This record gives sequence, C-alpha cells and structure tokens, in this order.
Amino acid sequence: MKVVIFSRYPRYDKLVWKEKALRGLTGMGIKPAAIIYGNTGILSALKWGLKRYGVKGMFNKKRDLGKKRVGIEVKGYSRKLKSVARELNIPVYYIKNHNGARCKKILKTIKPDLILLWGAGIIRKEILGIPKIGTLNGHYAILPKIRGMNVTEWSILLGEQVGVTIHFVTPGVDMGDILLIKQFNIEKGDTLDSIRYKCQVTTSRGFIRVVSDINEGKHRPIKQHQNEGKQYFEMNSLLRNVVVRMLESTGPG
Amino acid sequence: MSERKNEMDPLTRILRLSYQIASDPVINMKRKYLPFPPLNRGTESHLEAAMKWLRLTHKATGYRGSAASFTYFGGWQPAYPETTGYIAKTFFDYSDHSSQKVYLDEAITMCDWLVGIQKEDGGINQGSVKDRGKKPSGIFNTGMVMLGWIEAYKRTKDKRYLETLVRAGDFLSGIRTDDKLWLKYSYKNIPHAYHSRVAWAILDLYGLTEKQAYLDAALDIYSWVMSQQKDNGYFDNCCFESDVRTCGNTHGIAYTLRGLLEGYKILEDEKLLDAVLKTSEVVMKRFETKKFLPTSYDERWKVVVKPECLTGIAQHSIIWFKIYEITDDIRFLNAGLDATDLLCFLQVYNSIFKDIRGAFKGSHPIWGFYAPLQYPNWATKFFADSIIIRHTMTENLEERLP
Repeated sequence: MKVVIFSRYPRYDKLVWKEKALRGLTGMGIKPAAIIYGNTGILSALKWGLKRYGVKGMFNKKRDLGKKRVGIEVKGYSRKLKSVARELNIPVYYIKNHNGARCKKILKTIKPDLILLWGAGIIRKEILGIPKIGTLNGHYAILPKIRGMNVTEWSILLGEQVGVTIHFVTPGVDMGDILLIKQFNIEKGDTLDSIRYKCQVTTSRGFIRVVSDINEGKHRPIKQHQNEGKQYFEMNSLLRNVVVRMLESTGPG
Repeated sequence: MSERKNEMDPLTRILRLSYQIASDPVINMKRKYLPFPPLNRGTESHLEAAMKWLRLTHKATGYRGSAASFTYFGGWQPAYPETTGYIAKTFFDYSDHSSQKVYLDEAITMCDWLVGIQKEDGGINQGSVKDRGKKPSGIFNTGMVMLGWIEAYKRTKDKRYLETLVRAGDFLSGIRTDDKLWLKYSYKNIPHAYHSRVAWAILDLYGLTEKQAYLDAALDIYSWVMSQQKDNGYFDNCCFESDVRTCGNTHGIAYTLRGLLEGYKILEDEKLLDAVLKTSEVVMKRFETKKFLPTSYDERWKVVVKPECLTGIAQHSIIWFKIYEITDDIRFLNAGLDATDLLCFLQVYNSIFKDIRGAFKGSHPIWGFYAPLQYPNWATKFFADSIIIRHTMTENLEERLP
C-alpha cells in the first residue's frame, strides 16, 4: 500500500509523535512513499508565529513550551521528521501549498492509496480525490459530537469525554467516516499542553493501527450524519481561561 | 487641552479623516498578522467610552434628540428620531448597569422630546427631525421610537407615554388593514423584512394594552417576514433600498432576526426561534471562520460589499448572546465574545477629539459602502447594548456550564 504523508515545515516538524508514527509504520512494512511538506519557508512560519503568539510572545513561547513539556515527562524534542525520513530513505518534497499544482503533480506521479494528514490546512476536493482509498486525519476530540477547531478545549469546557478520532477526510468539516475513536481521562495536574500531548501520542498510535487495519482490509468505517454534532470555532480567550481554571481546579498532580 | 480644543473644526476634521484613512489599513494588518482578540483593556471601559459619546450626541442637539452622526464633512448632524427612540432604551439599560442616574434622566428627556414630535397621525416622521414637515410618518421610525416609549412607560408608569404609544399603535395597526405591506409609509415605498422589529414593538404594546388589533398586526407581520426566508436562511426583501448592495446587508438581517427573536420571547412560538437559528447559524459560521463580517451578502451568501458594517456586527453579537441565553449553545456565546472583542478593537478609544472618542465608524475601513466617513449614533448604541448583554452572559459563567 502506498502511503503519502502531508506535513508542515519547519513548524511542527520536531514532534515526538510524528517520529514514533513514522517509525511505527515503517516497522510494519508500510514505508511511506513520500512526505510532502506544505507551507514551507521562514516567511510562512514567521506569519504563523506572529498570528499565534504576537511579537513579544514569539520569543517567550518556545521557552514556556519547553518547560511545560518537561512537566509532562517528554525528554526533550524529537528529531526532525525530515531527518528521520532521510534515515529511512523516504523521499521528501517541499512545496508551497498542499492544494497547489505542484502537489497534484507529485501525487499523480506517486499514485498513493492513502494520504495521512500530519499537519496541513484544509485540503481541497481535487486533492482528496487522488488517493485510491482516501485521506486520513487525526482529530483531537470524539466525533461526531465536536467538530472544527480547538476541539480539545471545547471537549473540556463542555464536560465531554476527551480523546481522538481517526477519520477519512471529506470536503465537509470533520464529516468523513470514522475509523477509530480512542478516549482517555484527564488526570490531576493535567494542563492544556499535556492533554494536547496525550492527543498527539494517541493519534500517532491510532494512525499506525488504522493504516494496518486498512492494509489488511479489516477497517470498518462508521458514517457520520450532519445533525449528530456541531462545528466549533477558535475558542475566545475568555472561555479558554475558563478551561484553564477548570483544569487547575482538578488539583496538582 | 481645553474642552473647546477637543472639538474639531473643519480643517482638523480633514486632518483627522486623513489619519483615519491611513490608519485603517494598519488596523487590518494587525488583524491579519497578530493574535485575535487584540484587546488590552476590559470591555467595561469601552462601554463607558461609548456611553459618554452617546451622551455627547444628545448634548450636540441641545438635548433635543440624539444627533444622527458625526461626519467629517458636516460635523454633528440633526437629531434622528428613529435612533433616538432605541438609544433611549440603551440609556435606561445603562443606568441600571452603571447605577448612574444621569442616564435615566437623559433617557426620559429623549422620550419626552419624542412625544413632542409625534405627528398627528400617531407616527414618527422618516429621516431626521429636520424632515418632520417634509416627510411622512415612517413605519420603522415609529416602531423604533415605540421601543423607547414602552421602556419609559414600564419604568415611570407615566400615562402620557401610554397615550402616545396607543396613538402610534393605532397608526401602525390601522394602516396595516388597508395595506398589508405598509408600502405607503415604508422607507423608499418598498417592503422590508426588518419590519419584524416593528412587530416586536407592537407586540410589546399589546402586552401593555391587550388590544387585539395590535396582536393581529404583529402576527400578520411575522407571518409575512417568515415567508421571506429561504431554505438557506437568507431573507428576501431585506433591502433598505432597491440597490442590490443594500440587500442582504448584515445590519438589515440583524434587524429582521432581532424582531423575530423578541417575538419568540413574547409569543413562545418555536417557528420564530427556528427561523432565527437557521439564519444565525449561517452568519455566525461566516463570522467565526474569519472573524470578519462584510456589509452585505447576496442570496447565495456570497459577499457583495466587503468592508465591514460595524452596526451589523454589533447587532449580530447581541443576537448571538441572546441565542446562547435561550439554547445554551456555547458556540453563539463564543461568537458574541469574538464579535465584541473585535468591536472594542475597532472603537475610536484614544482619540484626543471628544467628538469621536468612544464612537464607531459606519464602515471599516471608514470609506466603506455603509455610512461612509461618519460615526452614526446607532453603531455605538448597538455596541453598548452588546457589551451590556455580554456582561450579563459572562457573569457566573462557570456555574452555567455543564
């Protein structure tokens, strides 16, 4: 089975779960045919950093993240995904946009069975139509109830079970067939960062299991219906602070 | 700087406008590239600034109505009865919110002034107070002033207001029997879906008088407005004028929805709420996706006029807060918070010129299609309403959550 991974560079290329998932897939004998990096370049990363953290925050945020990650027992950053890919002899492409003509051309040459989204924006219909089996996404909430953005935060705020869903990608927002749901509990001392990290690790394992199931023809997709859930958007800072307070009130670890 | 110097003479206005024209693209850059919301102070100070400016609109006319707007080319404009009516309601609410009696007193001054300009037929003239002798009574203008009078009557129990209201109510329900769409007294003589707001006023009056004709008229209007809603939530006949750019404008859509929503609250008719939810879901999603709401859409919800109508954003945020209050759907609370954060960012907050300090532009950027190069009083009024309701919705929020 030919698998292609969509990811971002340099943003989010040094994440533990990506390395784990890549090694896991390769270990099962499903070596990805390529990793296609979109939104590449310093300017794109700079724009993203500015939008997310602001001018001052861009310089402080890395240090904070480091501290938080130590708190959740992650020993330093992982290696860059592109270095791991090089080690495993997986071709890597750098493009501007996953929806662009260059990406389409690369995909038409590779003719993948499956695309895995490991950090990509909204993928258009014409790209989604290229892989024979489909495109998979890891969603950091339980579908179909909570779709959209900041879904981990929304799950906590609404008192819903936290977890991840691996699902096929369709043009509708998080509306594709569900392949796997994994739940986990919020523990004392958990922060938004630690919960997000748990989501990443769970997603990484989920991808390996789902790809393996698809490879063996054992997957059982579950259809979603439009009226089963709601689409959520970026959470306002006032509500985000409520989420933080809710987590803090669960007490220290 | 003395108070006098804080008022803008024509030359200063031109210079200030040039500054505004230069700074609006910078504001857009900040929105595009920096974190949202770009707030650095509490919403209460924004509300206070807005209310102080609204008081200034009242003072600018010598306390004979609220000046329609402050414009760069004409300074303070004559009082606008229609908006003075609903601004009085905001003053009543803010006096409760802030415990400042001066707002209550000014609200009553506004309502009394409006009693004095009621026309013989019971209506309120279209346009500004200067048009009183020239223009006929307007359906919408009358309805909006009624909202102020109703609040004044509820608070003071002064029979003068009730008598005035009954005359206005009789005018509206009377012409309704001859002309179902109110075309003769309607703005630009065309039907308007936003007359649902007039239905709200008549319905509220029915609550005070129990006069059947008022209820019949309100139900009749709601029925017609609901018939204008398409399957995708868009309302036909939501235009201010025949110009396509004013159709599907967020300001008019919000007027329509608010009328229906208040109707639902009084009548408890689920159909009215369903209609509001259908359209609000679409508008909310469009706003939340980009934290942006254009001036107008076409019937397929494609953008027609891109610059933002700040009045429309403020009005929709009120509707979203109210939907959250009714349905507990927290996405609408989030949208309301986002919209009010955005408006706080777009308010003229730090200007040295008191003529505009605390006000809102008609359009962002200021040269946009809706009320260009001016600061209309109704934009600031709806902003103040939205912050007052925001405070109510976020008080004890954690207790409300599941």
